[in-house]
Amino acid sequence: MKARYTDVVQHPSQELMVFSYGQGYYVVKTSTGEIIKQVQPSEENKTSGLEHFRTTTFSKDGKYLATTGDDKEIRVWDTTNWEQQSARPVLKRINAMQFTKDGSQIVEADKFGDVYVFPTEVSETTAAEKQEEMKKNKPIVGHVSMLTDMTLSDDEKYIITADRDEHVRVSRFPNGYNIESYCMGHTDVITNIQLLPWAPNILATVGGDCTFRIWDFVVGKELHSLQYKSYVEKYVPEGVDANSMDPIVMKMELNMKDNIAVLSFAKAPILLVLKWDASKSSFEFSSIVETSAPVLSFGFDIEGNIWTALDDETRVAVYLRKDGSVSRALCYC
Amino acid sequence: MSTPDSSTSETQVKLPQKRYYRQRAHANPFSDHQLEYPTMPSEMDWSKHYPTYYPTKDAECDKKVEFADIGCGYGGLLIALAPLFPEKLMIGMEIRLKVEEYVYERIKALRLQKPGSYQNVSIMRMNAMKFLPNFFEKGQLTKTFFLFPDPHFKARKHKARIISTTLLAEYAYIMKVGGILYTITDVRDLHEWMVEHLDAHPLFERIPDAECEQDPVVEHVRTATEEGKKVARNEGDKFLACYRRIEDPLE
Ligand SMILES: C[S@@+](CC[C@H](N)C(=O)[O-])C[C@H]1O[C@@H](n2cnc3c(N)ncnc32)[C@H](O)[C@@H]1O
Repeated sequence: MKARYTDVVQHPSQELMVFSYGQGYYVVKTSTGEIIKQVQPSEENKTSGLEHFRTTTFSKDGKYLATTGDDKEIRVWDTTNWEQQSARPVLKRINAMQFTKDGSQIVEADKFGDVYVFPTEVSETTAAEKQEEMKKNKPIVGHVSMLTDMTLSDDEKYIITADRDEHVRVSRFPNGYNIESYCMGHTDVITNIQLLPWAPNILATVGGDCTFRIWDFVVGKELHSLQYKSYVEKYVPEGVDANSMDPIVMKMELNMKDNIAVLSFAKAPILLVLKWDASKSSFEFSSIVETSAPVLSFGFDIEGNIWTALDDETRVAVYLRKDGSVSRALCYC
Repeated sequence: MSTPDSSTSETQVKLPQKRYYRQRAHANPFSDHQLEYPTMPSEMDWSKHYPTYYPTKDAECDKKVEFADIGCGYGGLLIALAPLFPEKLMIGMEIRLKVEEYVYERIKALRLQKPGSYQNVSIMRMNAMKFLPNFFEKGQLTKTFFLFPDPHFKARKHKARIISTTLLAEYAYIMKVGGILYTITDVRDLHEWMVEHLDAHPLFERIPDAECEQDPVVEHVRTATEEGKKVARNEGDKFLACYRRIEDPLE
């Protein structure tokens, strides 16, 4: 595998992970490390080398994979044969995307600040019809500033959106015009939000202010805030971001197996591991995993091992986890 | 030797002159690097605004701001309403620094002129398009005003309009069910735009015009602001539309 990967995502029930690059992706069988499929951008889509899939997501049953990014299209792939099943144009670049539980709809949050819902099935055939439908569709939630992440609550009664202005908003779903609460306290951009898989009434949020916060999101109440700057600052190169000296979180993933949260940071060659303390209902520092290069993206495989896409010749390194410790085991060059 | 002379107090405390506070007519609502705002409503220091009610930042006070004049300009509306609703705290919100300074000086002067009065009105500089939920809790406001807002004529600039589907969700959030949102403009196209968006929003319901006329606030909405006076001088039209915040019909 030779590409620079932009996103890593795990299949919900099988030993498969998808590594996206450009407008293509690899499907890797995680038990063996074997590439079982390489989907290459078709000639017509190879318009520029700069367009990438940046957001990929599986439906809950694993039947579909959806990809989107600079192409401003949502493509849905059938995971039985990895054939593209449909593509629909969207107005703005999408920064977060999720299937509803039943897989019938795709919810997406964009750069303009809007959230749209689309049926997974694309019935329109011609490009003109698709354009028409895209323009007819009205956003269900809107922020004035760019949306960075979005998630539906586990019961799908709420949609939670995060923006560049420190706001995490909880709205009803699908009646997003009715705002239930705000989770306020962050003092910089919020980049990632996610429900705790083992306690889905709790939301975790991170971004640029070096705090990892958890919330009772329905009422917008902060439950705990963890300051992690002292653990990570020495790994962050100076002058990464002209606006702030603080490292900015690129990705957050939570793992059910032993209730941990893992964060990666822009331009920093580390993963920060935080551990859930069930007795206190809060997170605490667990460890720093040093990687050979900055982490472009990462994800957990079904065993809970961490697959990282690195910004060096290694490309992909796997960190095995056993009894709370993490060791670099395999790498695919 | 000076002799106290109460009859001159009116002139001793000079009202600020508007021309010293002129500023560019349009400020960019999307850039707000120097604006201050609390991280959440409970962090807000209201003691600077209402010292009689909030002697200190953390003073216990059961009175909360209930009226907000959004894009209040030179503050005419709230200065008219303050004596009419002496028990209600009201705030003007304005993005332009010079305008905010002018209104601040105006209120300061009025408080000195008439001790005990105008303690319930204040002004803050803020960007209402971005940070309202930082200042107000859910359901806090009983009246919000959008008087003669900037029209932003070009379609490309419609996202800059202060009434939009996006922003209405936030206004609905900070408003109490039963509260009233007032809009008025001399620009027919903007009026139609505001009505279209408010009509389409499930949490707002239009108040019939006849009922609006019963509302003692409406005459001030028409005439009290500087922009309203200018429109009257030019014999322009004034299109009014008032809406009530209602419960979510879906719930
Ligand atoms: C045309 S003036 C009307 C002023 C006043 N309501 C009146 O009737 O005289 C619109 C005002 O809204 C202010 N404004 C525009 N966008 C704003 C924003 N995002 N937040 C706060 N004030 C804003 C402008 O600075 C301006 O003073």
